[in-house]
Order: sequence, then structure tokens, then C-alpha cells
Amino acid sequence: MATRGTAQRPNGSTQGKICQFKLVLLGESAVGKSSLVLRFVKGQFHEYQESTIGAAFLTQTVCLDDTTVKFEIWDTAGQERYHSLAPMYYRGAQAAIVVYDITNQDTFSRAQTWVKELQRQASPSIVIALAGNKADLANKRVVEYDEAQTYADENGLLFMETSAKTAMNVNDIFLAIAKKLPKNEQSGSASTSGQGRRLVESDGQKAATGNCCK
Amino acid sequence: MAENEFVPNSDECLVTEAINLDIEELDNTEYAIPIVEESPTLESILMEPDYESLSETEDDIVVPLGEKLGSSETTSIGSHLSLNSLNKSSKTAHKPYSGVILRHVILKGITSQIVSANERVNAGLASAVAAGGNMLVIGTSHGLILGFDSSQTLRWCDQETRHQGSISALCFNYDGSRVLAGFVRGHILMLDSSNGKVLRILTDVHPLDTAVLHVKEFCPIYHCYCILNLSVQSIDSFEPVTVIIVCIRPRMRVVLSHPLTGAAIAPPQLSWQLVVIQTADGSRVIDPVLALARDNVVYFYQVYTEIGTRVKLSPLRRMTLPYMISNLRWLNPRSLVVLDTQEKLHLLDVRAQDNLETLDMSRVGISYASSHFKGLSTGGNVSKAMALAGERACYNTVIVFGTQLLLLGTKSLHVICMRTWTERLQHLIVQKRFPEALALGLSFYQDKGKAVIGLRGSKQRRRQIARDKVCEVLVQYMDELNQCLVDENTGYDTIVLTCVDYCIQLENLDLLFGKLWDIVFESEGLKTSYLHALEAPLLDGSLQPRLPPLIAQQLVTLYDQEDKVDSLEAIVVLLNVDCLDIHQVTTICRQRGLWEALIYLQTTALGDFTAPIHQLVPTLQNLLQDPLTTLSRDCIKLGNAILVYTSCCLAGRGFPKDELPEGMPQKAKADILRALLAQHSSLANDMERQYPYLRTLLQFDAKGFLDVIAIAFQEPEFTSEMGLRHRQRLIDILLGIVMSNTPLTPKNIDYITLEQQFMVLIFVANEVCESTVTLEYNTLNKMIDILCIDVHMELSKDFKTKRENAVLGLLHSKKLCNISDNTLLNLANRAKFIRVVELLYSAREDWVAVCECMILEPLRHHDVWPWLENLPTVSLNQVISVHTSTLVTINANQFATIVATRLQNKIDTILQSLTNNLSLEYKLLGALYQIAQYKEEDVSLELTTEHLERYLALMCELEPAHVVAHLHGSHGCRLDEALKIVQKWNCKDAEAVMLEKLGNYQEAFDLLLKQFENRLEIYRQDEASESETVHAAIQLAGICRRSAGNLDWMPLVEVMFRSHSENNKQKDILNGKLLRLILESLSGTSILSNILEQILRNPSATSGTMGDIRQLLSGVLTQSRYEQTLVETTARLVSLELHKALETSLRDAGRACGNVSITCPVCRQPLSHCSDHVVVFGCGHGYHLTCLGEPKSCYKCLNTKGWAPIATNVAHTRKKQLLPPEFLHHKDLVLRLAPSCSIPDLEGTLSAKTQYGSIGSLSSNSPVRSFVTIVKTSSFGHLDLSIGDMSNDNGIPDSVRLPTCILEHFSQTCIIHAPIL
Repeated sequence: MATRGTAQRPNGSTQGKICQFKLVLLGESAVGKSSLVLRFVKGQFHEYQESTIGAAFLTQTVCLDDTTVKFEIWDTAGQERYHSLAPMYYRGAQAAIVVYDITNQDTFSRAQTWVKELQRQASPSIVIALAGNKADLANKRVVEYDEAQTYADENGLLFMETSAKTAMNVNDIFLAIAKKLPKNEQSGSASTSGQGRRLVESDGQKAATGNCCK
Repeated sequence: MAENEFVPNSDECLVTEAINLDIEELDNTEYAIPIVEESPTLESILMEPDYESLSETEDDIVVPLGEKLGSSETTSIGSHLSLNSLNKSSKTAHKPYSGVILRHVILKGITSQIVSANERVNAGLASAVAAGGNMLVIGTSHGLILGFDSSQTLRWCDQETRHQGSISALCFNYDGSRVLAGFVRGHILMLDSSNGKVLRILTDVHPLDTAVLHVKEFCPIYHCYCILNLSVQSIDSFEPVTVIIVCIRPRMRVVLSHPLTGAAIAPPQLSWQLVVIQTADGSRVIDPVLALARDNVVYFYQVYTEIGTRVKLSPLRRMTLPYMISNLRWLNPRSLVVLDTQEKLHLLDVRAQDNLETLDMSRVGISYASSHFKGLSTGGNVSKAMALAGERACYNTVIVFGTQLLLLGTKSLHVICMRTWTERLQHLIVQKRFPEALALGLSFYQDKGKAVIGLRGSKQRRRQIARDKVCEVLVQYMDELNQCLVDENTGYDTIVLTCVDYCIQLENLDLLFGKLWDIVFESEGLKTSYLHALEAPLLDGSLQPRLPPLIAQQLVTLYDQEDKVDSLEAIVVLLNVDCLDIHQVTTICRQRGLWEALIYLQTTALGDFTAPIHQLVPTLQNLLQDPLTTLSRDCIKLGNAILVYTSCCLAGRGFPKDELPEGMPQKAKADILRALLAQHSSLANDMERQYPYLRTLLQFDAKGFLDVIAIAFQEPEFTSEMGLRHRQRLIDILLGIVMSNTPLTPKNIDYITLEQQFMVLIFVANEVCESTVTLEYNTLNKMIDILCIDVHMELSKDFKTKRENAVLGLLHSKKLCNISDNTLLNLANRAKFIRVVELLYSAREDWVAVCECMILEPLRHHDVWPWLENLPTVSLNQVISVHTSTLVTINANQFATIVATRLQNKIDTILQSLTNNLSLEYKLLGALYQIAQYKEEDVSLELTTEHLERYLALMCELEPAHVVAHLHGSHGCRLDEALKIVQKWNCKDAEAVMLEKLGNYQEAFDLLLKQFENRLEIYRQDEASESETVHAAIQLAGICRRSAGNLDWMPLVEVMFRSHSENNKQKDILNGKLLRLILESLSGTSILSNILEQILRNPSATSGTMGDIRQLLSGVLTQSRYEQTLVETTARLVSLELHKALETSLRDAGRACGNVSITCPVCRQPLSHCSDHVVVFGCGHGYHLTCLGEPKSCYKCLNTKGWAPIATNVAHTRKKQLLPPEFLHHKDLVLRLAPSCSIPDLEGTLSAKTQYGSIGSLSSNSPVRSFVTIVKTSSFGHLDLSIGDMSNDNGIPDSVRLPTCILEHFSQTCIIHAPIL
């Protein structure tokens, strides 16, 4: 109760708009999808992250210049038996991060199939990022950086090598996605699916309410 | 009048909406009346706070204004214009004038002009008002007419006619160019409304010295006007007011005559309105509706024209109000405004008959026209009734102008109008009454709103507009909530609840999940309330089961924290999978044991039908191994969930509800079957037995699981050829589980109890019976062996029957042919399966054994009788000799029948065998006695005397109460033996009966008397009931009577009298009763004088008074008279019967008989060859007397014995026709009523013009201009209806005399409506 007294109006800051995006993480099991998200959302890392069942949902807001970008993150399970779920999540998504483990070649090829599937099935305007996770285990590296970079360039993907453990590049990759996402477009695939809504409040209303608050 | 009502060129077919539309547009643009011009929305108030318009908002009406008015009051004669002095505004505390729907405004400009006119030029108080065009005129009590324009400025003032007294009526013509003004002294002026110039003075139309109560211009085409005055005679009684509606064109006739009753003081009311009426067939018509009211009842009449031009009125409805009506006006087609005598203004919704709002109008100080009615200015020569009726008349001061109600107070002019719907919402919002505003808005949205103004367009459009507006309100409300956060207001959760509720009802999910969520997300408390508020709409389906993932996630977290697992499960099962955080939900479900939700997730989200079995059945197994003997709640919940899930899947349905999508059912069925039939679980250890899942489910609830399988077997997957193979496999596996080769100890976790084993076997047996599966010989053998096990354990009887049925089923379906009879018989005997044994015996045709089986089985032994009857005597004897006592117990009567028909010679033996069981013997004897007594055709049984005496003896022993009745019947015993028996068993009553039978009356009497005395003694000690004593007395009296004088019954009477010696009131009553009873019954047999003597000698018996003796005597006499009558009647009947018989005999004897043959059929000789007589029977056969034997009968027709009478042909006599009574025969019969009452002398009435007064309301304010409405109370005499041409400025108006017929009507009625075309 007491804290509410000092509570700010929601979204009452000065930035002009709030964008809400649906982001989905895909990749082979045990490549570190959940760890990546956990690092991004809560800044935590667990050595023994339990395996995800089905899919987990998290949100995180990042500020980008004058825009607040609100990510609705669907962290899907990597296990084979949950693959049938994936379309449900990437169908209305505006962004996807395909994760692989740089110490495991199979996960990289699996990541490539995911990219293909996304290009084929997901919305054409989807922003795809490729993340080579576990960069802290560089001594066990199997997938070379260049190889992945080349692949990413060929397919027009964002690419970074990340490490959930050391937090390397974790925020960066999300920010990069946020930057790349269109923020003005009203009619995306999102609004039709009803999943990723974008709330763009009109300036006039904003101003009026803002004034009365002050 | 207002253009909106008299739209001359508008279409014939006006729709309500169109009318409303017009009003709306005029309100904003053309209406020059300032009040309408101004739309006091919130914006306008906020924008221009200093704006002092001529019209005031409700908040401006404050006490000082009233005081100002009050202070300026002068003592003119107008001061008694208003009767309202009683409740004039003197209250200091006041609440806002206006209501939510009605807006109350004082027209300040006009009000101040009235006040100043009163002060400066002594204009008096306002007495009448009229509005039309863009002008508004007000008449005052001193004869001034003030003309105002739309901006409330005084344009002209007419003072010329001050001497004519108060202005009593005002009226505009239809285009507002002219004004008619009526004065209280009968003067009528026509003015130009624009400048107040007098155009005409109408002198001829109205008798002077009579108040003009109404002037109306009612026909725009002919410019006719109508002035009403009513001549009034002094009358004492005020009879019911009647409304008469007269059609003037094409010819004058009365359309309706409707009496209005009510208190004398209640003025009659009339009001017209075009209303959309929904007819029975759903179509809509627009017709004028007339509202008639008086006292507290409103009648609605619809005016319509039938084919042709005939105008008709049909009643619509009747409405009773809880107050007395003082004025009644339509405000719009749906709303009626009623001013009651307490000066409360009520807004009524006509369709729903609801009172929407009530406003107190006492501050207005309404100007009443009572002085006009009372004729104060003309000398007051009016009747009391008239004066009373005018008490609350405000016809000219409460008028409707467009959609506004003008209320003229003595010093002010008030306007009431209905707010438009947006104004109403705004009104509430300004007062921060958001919930009310939302409820109102929702009612608009749902098209349930009442008195809605300004919302128009198609239904769809209206909804849209309303929705947008309500959403706006909702947003404002949410902002309010936002304030709450800062203000620490504690009532926030109700606000959240309301917001959520309305978002859902308005189907505005964007608002719900967007703005509202953003607001509540900030605060934990609000969020909690919000999430709780979502539960109910989700569960009842008013909210789509699709939430934004974040909200769903929060919801799940919250409910998990709050331990509301049941609700959580219900919600999870409901929600779409794609909005759930599956990881979170699954984890919680596992922890909390929400198995249904878990299964739902696994199947719906993952399409994995095997997972639930693979994961949950082992869990169940673990729970089952719990050392506790009783199953825990969790375990049962899980087990049931699995069973239901299995059943759903096997049936191809979704779990826990809905259907599976296309193509899924087959997959589900196949998957679940595969999972169930898995040989080993996924995490099997080496110890695990085969088919762990089936085993576990059987262990959990064998019956339930088998039911599931049985239901599944109905599916095509198990009935096709392939399906049958599946079925066979499943059965084999089940058998394998329950009949394992290595028996398990109960300690083993895989142990299957005997009960479960039986259930499976019974299930299998049923399947085998239906030939859907086949079993190997060995398996079958083993199965039967187990089924027929003789269980010593305490298993329910039910179970045994089921097993038995299973075996029987197998036998019937001939599946056990391979097993020898003897083996089966042994097994069945071991298990005591009597029906099986019986079946086997009947197959062998060993009927004796079959019967024995049946006798042994308590459920079916009643069916044994037909079997016994069909047995050969020897076998029967054999059966009976063994089972006599059982059979008698089962049904003694049936047994007796069989014995009587088949084994009469064995009766002795049978009875012998029963000697050790007396009751059975008695039962059998009783049954036999019954058979012997009521002989049927095929059974003839004679019981020996010994048997009968034995029966009597047993009866004495076992059922002494029945003995007397038995002895009265044919008991068949030797009398002396019977007497001995009853004496032996000490049955006194029976003994008396026997003694009487033996003729020993005296002894019987003594016996009974002794008994009676004893009984009386017992009774005296309060140990016997009264009825018993009475019964004994009756018995005694009976024997005395039967003995018919052989007995001296005096001792009885003496006993009776002796008992009187003690004084006990209550007992004496009984004694008196007994005495009377006895004396009455004896009066037939004894000499009356004896009785009388006895009575007189013992006055104490009758407590000595003559009255009691009289009662006694009369009883005795009645009895004796009755008996005498009885004897006489009987004698008469007997002689009558004798007479009849004699008559018949005589008639037959005297009848001639035709002979059919001339020869005697016996000797073949002609009848003429006769030595003695010829006898001819009724059948026509003749015989020689000598040839006939004794008794005499016709040999040819043996059935006709004796002298058969010949049927006589009864001549057809013509039936008498029933004729109507004499007086009806005349054809020219006419219905005569009571003598007609004398019609009052019309001439006299009409000529009595000496005294005048007037009352009335002329309402041509109606949309139908062709009606003149005249209100007149009864017996007021004649009426002049003057119809003038207004265009003719100096012409004498055409006075139309109503036809005599109508006038005749007038003499008793009072309101006229006259249409002019």
C-alpha cells in the first residue's frame, strides 16, 4: 500500500511510444535458450537449469532512444517431443532468436533447419537472430565464428556469439533486435493475430493525461 | 403550436425516430426558445464558467430565488389562485431539483418579468401559459397578457382587457401566428402573436359570466377553433366522469364513451400522442394514442382507421398509479409525465409501466385554476362538485411544448425536459457516480434503456454509438482508479471489479487487457483484484478463454500462491494453450496434483496422448503402495482423472471437455490403447510384471476400469474385424493378469484381490457370451473354476449373484459345452449357484431336482407352484414329503390348492408331518378350510370333522379373536365337541355362541352377563376402553333379542342400574348410553310397559330429570316405530311380490299357445289321438299328458323347463314428444326487459341557462387535429360546441349544434372527442 503512494503512473515517462513485440527462442535442447532469457530478463544464471516443458513465457522491457520496447518472450522447449508446439509460438512472432551451442556441431545444423522453417512458415517480416551460445567455452569450440557469421550474412540474420554465463552479448542481441524491429508500422502480422499488440497512444491523449498528473 | 408536432407536409407515416429526429434538430437549430437552445454539457460549463444564460442549470435554483419570489408577493386576488400555499417552499434544506433523467430549469428571464409586472403594473399572478411558434404568452390573474420571444425578452403586453378578470385559457394557432385568450368572465380575444394586436373579439361564442376554461385551435386546414364553456347546473352529487369521443366528420357520431371513476376532487385528464405500436404479428404501426386518466388510473386507447374512413378506438392497457393524478402529459411516445396532487412529478415509461423518476415540484408553486372552476370571479354560482373538481385543475398551467414540460408557477415559469442520453451520462459522471453511469450506459448499449432520447440510427449504429460512449466513461473511470492509487483509497478493488465487468460486457478486450491492465499492473493489490475479477467471466464463458500470456501467467502465479487449486485447475483447463506458460503451469500442476489440468496440457498442447499414461500411472502405482489401507484423496483424484481420461480418449473425445479436432480421435484411440497395453513401463525395473498399467488401474478401481473398457468396446475401433482382434488381445491380457500361473501373496504389490479378479472374470464372461471373444478350453475351464469358488470370505451377496449370472450367461450362450455336466454341477453346488444347478437339472429333465432347487432359493421359490403342478404325482409326493414345512411357509394357500387337487388322500400324512409346528399346521388347515368352504369347480375337497375340530382347536390357541366369527359360519364341527373345545380354551364369547347354538340361551346369557359385569368392573377401574364395554353390551342385547322372549333379560337391566350407585359423572354418561342402547334394542321384543316401569323405578339411571327420561323414551319409541315400519314394509313387499307372481302366472295361463306339430314327439301319434289332455309348452311343442313324465318338461328343448312363456310382441307405442312449455309456443315472442326508465327532460335541461359554471379540458394538443376533446362532468346540462373560422376575422363563427342524439348522451356523460376531417 505504502509503496503505491510513490508509484509512477504506468508508462508515465516521457517516451513517446511503447512497442510490444513477440519474440520466440528456438534451438536444439540444452543449447542454453532458457539461460539466455533468464540472463536477459532477470540477470541470473543457474548452472543446472532444469529443462523447459513445452514453453515458458517471460517479459522484459528495454528502452531504446525514445521508444519503450516490451518483449514478450516465448522460450520454447528444445526437446524433440515439443517441436510440434513451435509453430504456435513463432506464427505471430515479430522476432526470433535461433540459438545453437558453439561446442556442438549438431545444434548448429539444427539451428539452420530452424531458420529455414522460420523463413518458410513464419511471417515474412520476422526478424531472425542467430545466437551462438556458450561462448565462454571457447576452448571446446566446434562451430567457428566465421562459419556462423557467413551463414548469417547469407540469410540476412543478426548474429552474435553469446554467453549466458558471462552475460556476454546477451543484452546486445536483444537490443539489436529491438533496433531492427519496425516501430511505426501499424499493420504488422502482429495485429492480425492478436498476439503481439502494439500500443501506440495518441500524443494528444498522452499530453492531456500527463498534464493533469502534474 | 410547435412545428415539430404540426408538420404540415410531413409524410403520412411518421416513425417515432423521425419525430424524435425532428425534435432533436429543432432543439439545436430552429427552436428559438432559449432553454432548448442551450445544451448545458459539461464542456460548456467548464469552458464558460461565467456564462449567465437566461436559462439556469439546476444548480442555480437555490433558496434565495424562492424567497425573492415570495417577498414580492402582493395581496391581489390572484393570491388564492394557487392552492399550493400548504406546501409552498419554506424548506431550507433542499436537494438538487433535477433528477437523472429530468432536468428542471427556471426560465429566469420570464420569471423576473412576471415578478416585475406584478410589482409595477399590478398584473397579478400568472394564471395561464401557452407556447407556439417562437413565442410564449403568459396570462395573469389581472387580465394581462405578456408575450415573450425565444430569448425570454418581453415583446408585448396587452393590458386592454384588465376588466375581464383573470385569464383562464390561452392557445396558439397551429403556426403560432395568433393567440386566443379566454377570460374568466367569458370574454375571448384573438391576438396577433407577433405584436399583441387584438384582431378580433369573440363575443358570440361564449356566454358571458362563464369562465372560458379552454380555447383550442384544432384544425389547421379550416382554421377552426373551438371554445368550450360548459353550463353548469347546481347539482349535489358528482357522478362518475365519462369520456365521450365524438367523430365530427364525415358525420357526427360518438366513437367512444368511457366512464372514469375516482374521487370527486380528481380532475379528469386527456392527452394525445403518436405512438409506435407493436401489433401481435410483429409489425409496427404508428397511431395516435389517447391517454385518459382520473384519480390514479390511466387508460390508453389506440385510435385507428379501419378500411374505409371509420375511426375506431381500441383499448390498449390500463395502468394504476399509487397517487392521485393532477395532470398528465405525454413527453414523447414512450414517456408520460404525471403530476400528482402532492406536486410530485413522475416520469413514466409507458411500455414497461415503470416509474423512472420522481421530482418534487412543490417549489414551483404551480398556479391552479381552481378559482375559475369555482367561478369566484363570476359570483361563485357553481356547484360543489364543480368546485371540487377544479381543486387541482391545472390544465392551462402545465403544458407540453415539444418535448418540454412548461410549469407555470404563480410567479415563475419552470421547464422540465428530459435529458438526452449523453447528458444523463454526463450528469452522473460530473457527480462521480461512475457505477450508475456505467449501468445506465450498459442499458443503452443493450437496448434496454428507458426514456432514451437522442440515440438514434439503426440498431447496429445505436449499439456502436452507445458502446463508444460507455467506453469513454469507462476510460474516465479508470483514470479515477489511477487517482485512487495516489489517494490510497481503499475501495479500489470494487472499482477494478466494476471495470473488468463492464469491459467484458461491452466486449472491449483492448481496454481490459490494455489500459486497465497497465493501470493495475503497477499495484499488487489492484492486480490481485483484477485477476480475481477475471475468474468468474472466464468460467461462465462471458470472456473468451484467451488471455494475454502475461496476464495468464500472473493469474496462475496468483492462484498458486493463494492455494486456490480447484479454481486454478478449472481456469487452466479452460484457457487456450497458446496463452499459457506451459512450463510454469506444468510445474505447478505436478506440485499441486492438478492431474486434469496436466493431462489437458499434455494432450491439447503437445498432442501426446500416451504421456499421461506413461507418467501418471506409475505415480498412481506409487500412491497405491502407500502402506495405508484406505486410498488417500490424492490417489483417488489421480486415479479417477486417469480413468476419465482413458475413457475420453478411447471414445475419441477431448479431455476434460469438447471434441478433439479433425483426425485426432483416431490417433488418440490408437495412442491410448498402445500406452495401456505397454508390456512394461518406461522406467521398468527387472521385478516389474507384465502390463503394469492395466494392473495398476485394475488395482485402483477394477469396476471403474472395466466400465471404461466396456464403453470403449462400443466404439468402431473395437467392433470392426481388426477391432475384434484388439478386443481379444485385451481380454487375453486381462485374463493373464487375473489368472496368473504364479499366485501372489496379498503382501505383493501386484496382488489382485479376489473381488477384482471376480470382476474381471465376470466382465470376460459377458464378452464371451456375446461371442465377441473366444477363449481356449483350458482358460475357460479355469475361469469357471475360479468363478465357482466357494467363498468363505465376507463378500457381498450381490457379488455372488453377479458371478452366478455370469456362469448362467455362459451356460445360456452354450459356451460351456466342452465341460461336462457333472463337473459343472459339482462346481455350482460348491458355489451354491442354485440357478445354475437348476438349469443343469432342467437340461437333464430332472424336474424333482429342479423343483427342489427352486424351493431352496428364496428369491424364486414363489415360482415353484406351476412346476409342482406339472410334476407327476409320484415325484410330487416325493417333493412334498420332504419340503412340506418350507412349502407351507412359502405360500400356504398355493400349497393347499395343490394338495386339494392332487393329494387329497395324503392330507393326513401331510398334516401329521406338521404336528410339531402348530402355526404351520394351522396355516395349512386354514387354507384347506378356505378351499373346502369356497368350492371351485375343479376342486372338491371335504375335510373330515377331525380336521375341522383340530382347526378350531388350533384357532382357539393361535387366533382366539377369530373364533367367534368362525363359529358363526359353517364350522363343520360337532356342536358338543366344539363347545368342549372352546370351553377348554376358555373362549367365553365363543362358548356363548355355542351355547346359543345348542339352544341353551339362559346359560349363554348368564355367561355373557357375568363377563359383562367383569368388564364393567374393569372399566370402572379405568382399565378397559369404553368401546369394549359397549361391544359387550351389544352382544348381550343381541342374545336377548335372538332368544325372543325365552329369556328373562331383566338381570341385565338390573346390572345396569346397579352400576349407577357409584357417583361418577363420566362413567354415568356411559351407563346412560348403555342403558339407552339396551332398552332400544329390546323394545321390539319386550313389552313397553315393562321397560317404562324399570326406567321409572330407577330414576337415578337417568339422573332423575324428566328431560332425560323423555330422551330415553323417545329413543325407545323411535326404535319401536322403526321396527313397526320395518314389519309393515316387509309385509307389503311380500304381498306385492306374491301379487306380481300371481299376475304373471295368470296371464301365462290365459294365453293361447300355437302348436308347431300335430304329432306328439313321444308317441308319434297325432295329438288329436288323445286320451286325457294335450300339454303344449311355450316353445310350441305339444305332448300327450300321458306321454309326459314327471317333472313336466319339453323333451325337445330341454333347456326350457316348465311352461315357457311366449314372448309377446310389444306394440310400438309412439313415444311422447317433449313439448316446450305452453307460453313458448307463440312464434312472436320478444324479449322484454324491465320497464324502461324515464329519460330526463332534455328540454328542461337545455333551457335552464340561468346559472352557469364551467368545467372542462379541451385537448386538441393531440397530433390528431381532427378531434375535439371536451371534458364535462355529468349532469352539467347542455353544451355548446362552437366551431369558428379563424381566417374570417370579423365573421360570426359557425356554431355547430350537436345532434340531438349526442346531446341525449350528454345529459348523462361528460367528455366529448370530436374529430373533424
